[in-house]
Amino acid sequence: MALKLVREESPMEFFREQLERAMEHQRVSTSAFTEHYLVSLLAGCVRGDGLPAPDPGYDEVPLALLYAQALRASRHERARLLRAMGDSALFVSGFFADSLNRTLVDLAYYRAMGGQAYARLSREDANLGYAPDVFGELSGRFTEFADVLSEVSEASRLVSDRSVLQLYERWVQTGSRRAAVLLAEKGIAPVGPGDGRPH
Amino acid sequence: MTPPLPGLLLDVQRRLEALYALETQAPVTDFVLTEEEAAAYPGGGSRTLVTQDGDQVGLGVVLERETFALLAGADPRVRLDQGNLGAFCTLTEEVSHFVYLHFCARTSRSVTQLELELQAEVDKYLTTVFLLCLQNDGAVSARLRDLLFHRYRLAVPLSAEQVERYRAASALAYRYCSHLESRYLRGSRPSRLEDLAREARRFYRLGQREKLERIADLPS
Repeated sequence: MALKLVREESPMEFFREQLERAMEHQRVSTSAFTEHYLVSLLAGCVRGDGLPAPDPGYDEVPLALLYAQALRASRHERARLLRAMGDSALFVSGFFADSLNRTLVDLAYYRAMGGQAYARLSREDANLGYAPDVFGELSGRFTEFADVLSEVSEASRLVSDRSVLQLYERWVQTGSRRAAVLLAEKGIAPVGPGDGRPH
Repeated sequence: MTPPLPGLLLDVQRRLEALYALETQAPVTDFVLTEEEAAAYPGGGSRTLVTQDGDQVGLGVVLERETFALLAGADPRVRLDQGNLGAFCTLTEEVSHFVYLHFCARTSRSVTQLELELQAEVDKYLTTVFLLCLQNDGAVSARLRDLLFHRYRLAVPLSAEQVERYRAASALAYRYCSHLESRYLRGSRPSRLEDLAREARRFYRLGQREKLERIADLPS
């Protein structure tokens, strides 16, 4: 077949390539279903899809409020809200991890809330059209996937604002393996509080 | 075509080929279509047209009448200033697409539109810088990058995706060209220009992913 000189590149294809590269780099592997879910999440969030409209006075619906709404909602609506909450937390804590460090709500909060939403969703009997283990995996490996998204963010935005201090703070807050590796690349071996060793 | 323009189009093409050490290609002037001739093809305004049927690739370069008229009255090779900068950039961008598509076709490489736009932005900067250097005793104004990459306006109505692509290409090129400028164009050692050409040639031959990675790896 003749080579197509100008090839189309949709956001999905772009993010799939970036995601595969980041996963390979971080030695993270997952099922094709979860990988497809992450690619769709990236493409959708960059387009601004899927998140519920904020209440007056808020830039976005706070995660805790979303969780409370979800628990009170009917089964289908609950699944939708939990998914929006998990997606929002994963996207924000992965894609905007560095900017989150400068806000009042920290990364650990986003990752805890997101993991909780996906965990709850994995137990719901709601047909959202995804393989049943996708949400369980997203919950159990939330920090790993957020790290992958973080690398995609850096490659896509081409912004490298990962100062040593931010990386260190991220590692302290979340135990992110990626932050630890990046710190190691900068010649810093992170040790946890109470390890009794200098750092 | 208005008289000085075939010369200018060819001049820009040959400069790009020399800068990137490319084989001389067929003259771009043989591929220029008038707006009337291009009316049946998609899009509007100045643009590069690509058609493909199997291995056969057809190229056409369209330049708006206004661009022709402006450059015919103010040849940028004589003096490049704010009056003709925009039109000269439009012309350079289309020639850049033509040269890059030719290069990719020859080397059996496919190219994305973002990659095309990114390379065109870099070509625009380097062509303009070299011309201004010749006209201003080697001085390079830091304002040029601002004019090229921050104060542009998109001429014809574009889809949101196209606008996003132009913005991304422009922001990426700004970052890359800032690096070229600070590393190779500040100071007066002539060897730096050779280093600049070497770097530009390497960059030119990278694919999209490698180009993005090269820019991402640049120091902030």
